[in-house]
Amino acid sequence: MTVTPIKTIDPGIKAEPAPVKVRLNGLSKMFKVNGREVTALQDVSLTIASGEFVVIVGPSGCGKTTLLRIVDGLDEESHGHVTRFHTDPSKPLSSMIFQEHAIFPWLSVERNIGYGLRMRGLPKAEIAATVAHFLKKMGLADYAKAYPYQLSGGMKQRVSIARAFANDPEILCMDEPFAALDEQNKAIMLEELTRIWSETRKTALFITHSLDEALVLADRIVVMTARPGRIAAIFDNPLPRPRQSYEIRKDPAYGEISARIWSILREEVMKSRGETV
Amino acid sequence: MTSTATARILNVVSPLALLLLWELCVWSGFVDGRLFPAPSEIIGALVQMIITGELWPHVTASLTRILAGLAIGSAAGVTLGIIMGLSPLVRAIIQPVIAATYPVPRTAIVPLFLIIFGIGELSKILVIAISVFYIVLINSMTGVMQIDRIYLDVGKDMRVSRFQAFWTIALPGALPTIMSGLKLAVGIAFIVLVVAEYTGSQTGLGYMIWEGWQILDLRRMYVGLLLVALFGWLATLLMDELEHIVVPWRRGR
Ligand SMILES: Nc1ncnc2c1ncn2[C@@H]1O[C@H](COP(=O)(O)OP(=O)(O)OP(=O)(O)O)[C@@H](O)[C@H]1O
Ligand SMILES: [Mg+2]
Repeated sequence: MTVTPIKTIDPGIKAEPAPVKVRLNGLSKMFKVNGREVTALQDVSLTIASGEFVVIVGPSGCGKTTLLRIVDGLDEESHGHVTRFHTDPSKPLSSMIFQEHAIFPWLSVERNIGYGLRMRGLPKAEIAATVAHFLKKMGLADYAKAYPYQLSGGMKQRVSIARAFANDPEILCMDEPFAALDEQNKAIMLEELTRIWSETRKTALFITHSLDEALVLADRIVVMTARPGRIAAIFDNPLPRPRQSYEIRKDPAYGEISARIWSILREEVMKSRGETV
Repeated sequence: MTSTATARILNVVSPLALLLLWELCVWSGFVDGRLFPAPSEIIGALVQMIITGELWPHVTASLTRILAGLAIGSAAGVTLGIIMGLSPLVRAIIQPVIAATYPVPRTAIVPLFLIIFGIGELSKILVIAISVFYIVLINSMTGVMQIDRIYLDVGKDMRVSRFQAFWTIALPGALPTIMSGLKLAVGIAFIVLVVAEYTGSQTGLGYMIWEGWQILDLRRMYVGLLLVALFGWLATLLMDELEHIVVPWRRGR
């Protein structure tokens, strides 16, 4: 299916197109499940500009996590090609916020957050300062020395977010990072993420099932098909920045764009359910 | 009274009650005091052996053997176990050997070790070490293989080196399982120690038990049994404490 993207309301600063950060060329990924071959991704091509915020939505099991893991370098593609451009050697190229709680049970909150920095051998004082900054930002200052078993699910998720942010990568890969958070913390995190992104001009890939999150964060929204995951449509986000999660709903463009995304997404979700039932 | 408080009191009261019953049975003539000396007599014999200084060499000999055996066996077991857990190749080479020799009872190889290593200290220490080695190896390997893949993915995401992955993920991730292996190993080490000291030895608590039986000085035998039980119990408490210190993230579970 092809959909003409809504024209971006160009604020005029994009005189020159930003350099390419990630290029996916005809990407496919096959898994062997009980001797049967499952195609998780099929022929995905996408070019992501440096500093761009791309949100990926799609039915459960359509290959979003698979795509992100390939971009992050955790898994190998079966066919096709991934090119990533590492421009600042002092920073790691990419970091991932995992869908599951992936914080180390054997490290305290502060040591979890500083893990990437310690592994890179940064000076102790610098690590301490960065960790303190994110402890405060994430509302975890009182839990610096606590172990994960002493935290709630949402707190664990915040530690995992802080660990990736503290690592300060050029590309941030985020797999449903806010799914385990309560509404209030989610709103705070959305603002914090927007702030970090606009200050540091990171390239961001963000998976979510929430169109609200998508429309607050995204420059572009990629909608994926039911398995095998392909790109169903790509939308430019027409809403002007800065965006507040409750403000954007008043914008008439909000209703229009979410209706268009929903119509495609719903169809794909139905397909994915029909296939498994 | 809460049930835990009751349980705690019973923990102390029930063994004491049993000893008291034993004491009464001997005094009343219901049980033959020559075969089952009263607890008070055993304690008396123990005190006497402490005063004469006769006990000390046996205790130090046993403790030295068990500590040396535990140290050698667990160091080798942990190292090889983690490597086997991390490397499918090493696992494929070594696992068949382990599987084939594991069912041989550890105490059954005592004579073999006496032939190979002589009747000196070395054979006793090595028998303990090899018994400890198996259980620690298997636990360490399982511990590493059970680590949730997601933690290794985080390491990969952070681009850690193999060395860093070993120290910051494989080892701490396997540590709870390794610790349970070490706790089991301590118990097994005491069993093997006593058997190893029965034969070809002039010192140790196992020798005391054996000799006490042979010369029918049964009070000596019971002193030996009592001390083995006591040290075994203390070692268990120590291991619990050690586990608490090295696996602090398991606290409160
Ligand atoms: N390691 C693996 N081995 C075998 N199959 C896998 C593996 N990882 C993913 N898959 C399969 O690939 C497909 C896509 O999975 P993926 O995790 O990418 O979905 P997703 O879009 O992230 O779903 P969700 O929204 O539920 O997180 C699924 O059918 C899944 O069963
Ligand atoms: Mg997923």
